[in-house]
Amino acid sequence: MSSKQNIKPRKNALVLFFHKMGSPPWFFAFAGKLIPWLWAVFAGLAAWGLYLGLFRAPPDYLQGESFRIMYIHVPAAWMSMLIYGLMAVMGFIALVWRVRVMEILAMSSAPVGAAFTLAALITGSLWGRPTWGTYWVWDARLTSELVLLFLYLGVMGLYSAHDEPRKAARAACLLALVGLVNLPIIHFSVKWWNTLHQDSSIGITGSHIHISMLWPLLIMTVATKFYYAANLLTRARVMLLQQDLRKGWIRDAVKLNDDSGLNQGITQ
Amino acid sequence: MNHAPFIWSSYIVSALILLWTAIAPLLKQHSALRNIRLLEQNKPDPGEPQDDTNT
Repeated sequence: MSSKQNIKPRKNALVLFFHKMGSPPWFFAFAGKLIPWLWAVFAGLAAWGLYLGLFRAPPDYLQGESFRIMYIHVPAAWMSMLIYGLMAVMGFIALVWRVRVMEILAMSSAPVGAAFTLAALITGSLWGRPTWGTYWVWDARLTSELVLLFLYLGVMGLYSAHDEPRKAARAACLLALVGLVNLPIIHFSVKWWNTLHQDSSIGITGSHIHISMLWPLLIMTVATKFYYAANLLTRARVMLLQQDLRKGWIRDAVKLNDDSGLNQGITQ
Repeated sequence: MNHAPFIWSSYIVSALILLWTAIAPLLKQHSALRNIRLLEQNKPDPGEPQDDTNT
């Protein structure tokens, strides 16, 4: 046997990490260690961003104080689209490679995405009243964002409609993939149609927002990413707990601290 | 027009939505842990001899 044949192919560290992520016990333990840090970073960034946005940024010369709604509306709207995109990607991986953890992550993303979409719609409506003089218009941006909320609700409803979680997840992942067509419609709606909603002020090439107003927005944008990550991992762990209730590994992972059950904890 | 009610209601509503989205899985986790505890309590002791009689 030649020396070349004796050499085992070395796996990339990233590939190994993704392989490990596919194992429910490993994912459960890994997520448990990460969640408190994600919540802590989110809390710190959100407090900092809100302080700068609500108390330090100067009022807008046209909109006055009402522009401060931007610091929750814009990150929430961006997250609503980003989470849907990630959910569809995870759904695609789950459908093609049948990775159970990916199914769980995709299905755990839907309620968080729906929450951000609802927040974006409500805050947009509250921003619209002093700016446009109305809470709601059926323009392309607002309507396509509302369709996004219905898509999230559809994915959640389809997943809970079936008794067998894996079959339910596959059907819901397929719906998530079909709904992906709505994302470019939301993004380009302000360019394709005449809308009351303004065009985006921030792009890859630059921003029309003054730096003193931009920083709080960027901080809040990063904070919402940490919120999503923490919430997603928490939900995925709970879903694993519910699905693998009778499996040995989950009983090993769960510590039952006392007879009364008041101090139950989960090993991390 | 006074903008403060619109600004504060935006932040309060968003905080409530995001807070509920964060708390809801913790309530489910509590319920799942209780179920695991109940399953653990109802599990037969492996040291005890099993009663195999069908009478």
